[in-house]
Amino acid sequence: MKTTITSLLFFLFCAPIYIFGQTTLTGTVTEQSTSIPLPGVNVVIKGTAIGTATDFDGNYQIEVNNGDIIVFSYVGYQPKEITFNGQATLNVQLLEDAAQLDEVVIIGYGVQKKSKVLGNAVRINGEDLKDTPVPSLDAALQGKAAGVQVIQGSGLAGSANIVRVRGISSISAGGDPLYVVDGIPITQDYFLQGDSNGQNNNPLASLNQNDIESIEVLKDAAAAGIYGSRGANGVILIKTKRGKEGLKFSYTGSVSTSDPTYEPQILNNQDLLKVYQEAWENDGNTGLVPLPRNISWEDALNTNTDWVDLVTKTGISNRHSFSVNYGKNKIKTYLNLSYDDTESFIKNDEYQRLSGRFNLDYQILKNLKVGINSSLTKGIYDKVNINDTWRNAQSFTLPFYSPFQDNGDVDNTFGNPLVELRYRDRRSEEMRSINSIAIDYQPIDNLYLRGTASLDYMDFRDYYWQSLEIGRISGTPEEERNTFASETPFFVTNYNTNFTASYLWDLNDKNAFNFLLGTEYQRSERLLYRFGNPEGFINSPVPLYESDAPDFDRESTGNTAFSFASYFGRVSYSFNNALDLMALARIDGSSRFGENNRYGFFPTFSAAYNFSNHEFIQNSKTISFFKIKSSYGITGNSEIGNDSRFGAFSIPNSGNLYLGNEYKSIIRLDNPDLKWETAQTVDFGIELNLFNNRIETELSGYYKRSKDVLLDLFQIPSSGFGESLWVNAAEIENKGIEFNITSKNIITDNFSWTSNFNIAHNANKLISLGGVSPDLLEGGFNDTRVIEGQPIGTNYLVRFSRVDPTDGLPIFLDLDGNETKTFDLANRVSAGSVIPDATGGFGNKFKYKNWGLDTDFVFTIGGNIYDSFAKRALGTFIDGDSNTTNVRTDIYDRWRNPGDVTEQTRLFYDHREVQGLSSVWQYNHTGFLYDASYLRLRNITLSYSLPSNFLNGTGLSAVKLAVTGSNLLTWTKFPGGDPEIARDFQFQRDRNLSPNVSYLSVPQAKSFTFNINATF
Amino acid sequence: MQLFKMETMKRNIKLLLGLFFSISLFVSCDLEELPENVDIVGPTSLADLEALLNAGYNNLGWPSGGNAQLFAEINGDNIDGPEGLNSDETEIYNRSTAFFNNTIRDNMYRGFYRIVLDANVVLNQIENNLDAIGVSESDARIQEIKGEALLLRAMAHFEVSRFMSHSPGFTSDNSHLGIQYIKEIDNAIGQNRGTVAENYADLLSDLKEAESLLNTTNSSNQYYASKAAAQAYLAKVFFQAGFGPDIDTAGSNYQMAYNYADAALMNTSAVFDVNLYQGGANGTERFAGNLLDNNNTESPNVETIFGIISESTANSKGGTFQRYRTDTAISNTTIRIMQDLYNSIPSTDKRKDLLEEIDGEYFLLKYNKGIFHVPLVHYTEILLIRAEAAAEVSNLTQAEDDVNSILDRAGLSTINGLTQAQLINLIREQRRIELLGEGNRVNDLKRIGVDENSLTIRNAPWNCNGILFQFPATEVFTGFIQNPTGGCN
Repeated sequence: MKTTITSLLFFLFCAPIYIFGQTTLTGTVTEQSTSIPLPGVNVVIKGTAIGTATDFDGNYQIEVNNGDIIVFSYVGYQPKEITFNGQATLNVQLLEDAAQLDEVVIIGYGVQKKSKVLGNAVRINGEDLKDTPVPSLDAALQGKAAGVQVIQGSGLAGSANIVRVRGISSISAGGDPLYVVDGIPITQDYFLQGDSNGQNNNPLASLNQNDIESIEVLKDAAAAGIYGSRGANGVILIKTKRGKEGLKFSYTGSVSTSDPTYEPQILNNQDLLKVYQEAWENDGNTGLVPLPRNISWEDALNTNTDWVDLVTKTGISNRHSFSVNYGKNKIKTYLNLSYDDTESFIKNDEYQRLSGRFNLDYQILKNLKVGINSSLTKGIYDKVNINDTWRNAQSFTLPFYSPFQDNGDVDNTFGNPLVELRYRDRRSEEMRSINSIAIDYQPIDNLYLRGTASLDYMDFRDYYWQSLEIGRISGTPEEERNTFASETPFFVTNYNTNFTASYLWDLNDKNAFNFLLGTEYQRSERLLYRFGNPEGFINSPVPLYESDAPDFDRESTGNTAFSFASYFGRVSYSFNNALDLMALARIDGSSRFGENNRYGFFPTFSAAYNFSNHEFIQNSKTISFFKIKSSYGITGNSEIGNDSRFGAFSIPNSGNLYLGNEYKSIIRLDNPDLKWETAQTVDFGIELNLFNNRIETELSGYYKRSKDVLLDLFQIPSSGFGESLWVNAAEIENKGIEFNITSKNIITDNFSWTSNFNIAHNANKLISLGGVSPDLLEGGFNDTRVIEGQPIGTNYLVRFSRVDPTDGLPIFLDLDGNETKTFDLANRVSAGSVIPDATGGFGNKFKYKNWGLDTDFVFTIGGNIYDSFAKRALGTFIDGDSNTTNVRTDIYDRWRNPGDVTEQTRLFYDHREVQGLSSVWQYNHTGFLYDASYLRLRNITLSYSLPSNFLNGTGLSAVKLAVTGSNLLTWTKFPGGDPEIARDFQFQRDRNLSPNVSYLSVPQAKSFTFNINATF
Repeated sequence: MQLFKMETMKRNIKLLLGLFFSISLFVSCDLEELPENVDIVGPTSLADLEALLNAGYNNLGWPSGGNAQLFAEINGDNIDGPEGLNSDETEIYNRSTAFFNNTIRDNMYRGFYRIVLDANVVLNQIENNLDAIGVSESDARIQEIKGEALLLRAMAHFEVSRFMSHSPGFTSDNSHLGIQYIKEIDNAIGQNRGTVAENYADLLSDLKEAESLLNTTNSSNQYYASKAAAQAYLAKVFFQAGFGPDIDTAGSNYQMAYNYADAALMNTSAVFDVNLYQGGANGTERFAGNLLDNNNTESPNVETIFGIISESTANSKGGTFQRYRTDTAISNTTIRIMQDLYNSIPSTDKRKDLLEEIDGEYFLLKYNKGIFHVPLVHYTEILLIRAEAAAEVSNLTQAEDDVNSILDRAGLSTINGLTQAQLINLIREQRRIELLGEGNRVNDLKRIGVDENSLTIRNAPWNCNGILFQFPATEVFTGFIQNPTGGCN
């Protein structure tokens, strides 16, 4: 017990080195199978607190007495005990351990031994963050953690992922987990720029994956409860690397390619003209079909533009990261400088990032330590409007349109992607700095005080500019041409301070307590600006990020801020190394909460019993570890608008006048009752390890009931209020079961094979919408609904039955299930759900001598994808001019002659041929609803470490080469593109409700990456 | 540091906890983050109250800056679709607005109720917050502001009512469903529809009070509402009630329409614009102004009794009217006019110059310019109401006089000695041509249908269900009665 705590403390506070031995022992610790030096191995004299750690070359130095037993321990390796009896040097080889039970994991406001963890948390180590051209490190969580659903954004260089922990329990409020980097809840706003250009902002883009030591996902109340009103959707703790003993330089470089996983399957000019003609004749017309934009048939037959090819390319990305580790005596530092240039497969879509990090630990006294984290990132995202490029290229711009006018100018009389690519310039620039200082002080034995202060500052600017050429090619008179140059800045300042005191109290050998008390204060302020002139743009010869001259008027539109003040405490009790009990509580107050609900109270209780010391386990050859655990807790979600609780009037904009006078209007009425969403979670888990811990399994089940779920309601239109109103109204239930297993199948000196598999099922149901009309949640692009008794995100569609073989018309089902040929929106039913039955992943790692091969698969079982563009791309309504689109090659399987039994209906020229259909955009039916199941080879990586003898004399201590292929293989039933869909969203509700609704969505990137990692 | 070198551990802990909690207190702020980009205090001066009222005026530009006018025209028989219409408009044209999210319809509806809210906020402030504003209720300006708010509230409701419900007379006692007449600012959960009888009673009550409170010329700016504006709307309301049961005990609907039209024309500073179809240098335009260069130099047309003022490119109104424009490239969203209407206008009629045939399609040139002022009630419209109402109440002399002014200005020969029926028909024809593109026609047809039951609008019965707009889906709470669909095709 005592030693356990001692070693725990070493991890906790990078144990100061006590020196009072007589003999200096030196040596090197290496890995047994590869002879690679192991840095950071703990070298401790048994029964004492005396110890050190190996440096980056695996070297250590320790003062010892004869007869001392020296313990070498390292996470993931079997510890070794060697008695000192006068050896001059002692070189040690450690063997990889099947069991990693004594791994120390981060928990909220502290760390804990894995075997003692009561909550449900999953850890991803930095080395598992594959070097792929995915700019967002949360992608690494996909398929790794049961119950953590990650939908990767898209192949775009700046896209944000959707992470949902244990289902969706929010509707209007953000459903994303809380991201905490080195103890700081970071600024996390996906809608900083709305859905501009067909994508959302990625708040994690500024984090450099090379800096990541580990990522921890806290799933249940026992784990996330300490985050109180912000823990309900899970918490993701990200820890950056810190300095270790020794001096080490390290360089990582990579180059990647990026191509779409899905090439749009659309028609060329000849085939499309045939389709148009067939549709024309189907409708009873004769002669040649008139072509849109009055294009002649002759021109159409001679023009075949490959629009998709015009907007795509193979993206080439490269990354360079250089880091320095220095640690000696009292100082340990980690420094990193990185540059990345990520190009996606869409032309003009590129993310460049320059980032630096400085982490320092300074042991001032043996009981006083100061730690500093500082990072500075500059991100430049050159982007394009996805509607104008990727989407138009496969839909509204037809193959028989020419990109150019007769005089050679780009044609701007339709949604020509070349106009976007050549003459518009969109960019966002983000300067971000996250800094913190932490002071650890141990005034007396077993009492640890920690104070942290941090600052997360973001300077974000969105730029738009268009060339005067657009005016010229459109025939606008010269004096009326504008460049519409604009710059929209946001400055976000996020402060956080927290203090914790923890006290370890070992009452006796059997009873141990751990107390934690803490307080935290956070304030985040956003400054908003707009142009001083009412037009919102100025004319500038160059984009404003290049323009140094004009000091254009910038006008503050006021600041918006939120603050949280919190108090928390945690008591853990451990009995006989078998029973663990924990109670915690947090009190959160926030400026976002209404006057009547200023503070919320969030308690959690949990218990675990470890049977490992019982005889039946001790005697068992099969079972090596068995633990049951359970928790109950209340957590919240506070992702409410900062000012939503206030009744408010607008402030007149200067320059915006009516009849020479200012005008101001009411925005909303007061809501003094506004508060957090409350989730009550019951969790039960079993951990079972077999065969000397070579197989580790965990099975958990949970039930989560969310009350007072926030709805951002459009007020009833006749109320006149334009702005929606936040109310606590709905109730949602989530229940699920999760299983994961890791197995060390083979571990020998030269060869090892480990496997992991996880799967999670979540059932989600809207219990009540609090009497509110689901239509008041209108808006957005979402084609999904919330319906009581159904999962969140229900596809609400008319049921398509079959194609009538006699005339090729679609047959639908009415509400009673009878067939009808009339399309009527009144026949919509809840027909599908965007929530899958199960998600998960599995992977294998092979290691043979210096070679490594890793494969990661991810999968989704069940759920639906609704292809919202199929009504055009497969519906084949030509409908004259404005809505004319290209169609997919799937329509080859269509009805043509009486008697044809087909999946696809006949072609239509006029949508009114379908009875009751008054607009093509209404034509949403289950014929376009697909099974969302897929299996994807997310990553496959082959790596090779150069043997150490090869590197002798080169100054290099380790060189590792790796090739990674991402998204190389996908098995899916969805014909309309990539089955992993995170389209552009307009607001949080869209992110919650409509992840699996596709609208010509940008697919993931298929990529190859070559990576080199050298340390010297 | 001395602090922690005390002897007993317990003492230490106590002290530490004490220190810890003092720090806690230090960080516990009051958590008040007052928003800066909005005003959470509310009006504290007369100027503030005027600014709130001004929002109502300004918001007129949202639904009435062309949208309501265009949608009404699409719903009627002046526009040739679906060429030139976008998909939402085609729904209106097809008289099938059941699409759960007809954005343009919903926006227009919302826009009108936004004005209702702006007006109700002003009325609510006058009722409850005059102390903070620092003015007494008897203050003349407060009384005028109240009149302006009541007029805005009635105007917006009247427009919504004409889209969402059948004209008075659809049922013999106007018991058919109308709209929600909103008088409070807190209407979060919605309100059930009143009957048309109730709606018109509310309209009359608001407008009559507004008439009594408003000045002949608005004391703040001549382009804000005046007494004549309220009278003009009273004329419009009575005129719309037309063949239905009388909505006021004081007289028949047409008699009252006549009276108020007459009063409005007497009281207003607006005059009959003889130069309207003159063309050339002396010619004037009803939709006056061309403010693209950001010059607010041109005044609204002299006929404007009340309208929306476009001051500059920064706050321009009437954008939707640009959909008619032929002076920029004609596209698949340029509005087309019915051929039969074009053909019905003799070539001697000066107003035919406002129409143009291009490749067998017909376009309206009235709105061929950038940004302009939008009259909402003007002299000609009220003159035509007076004429038709006069004819209906057998005051044929007045009717003849009024329609002759119209004919004469259009370059047509004047008339005399027509029968009542001939006169009424002539006035209706003139009304269609004069007010083309201004959103009147469908409401005239819905009114006339009450009298002529066989009347059709683009081959559909005047009282078919689909001619009514559907309420936005968001308006339909449990128990709310949506308009029925179909019947028009």
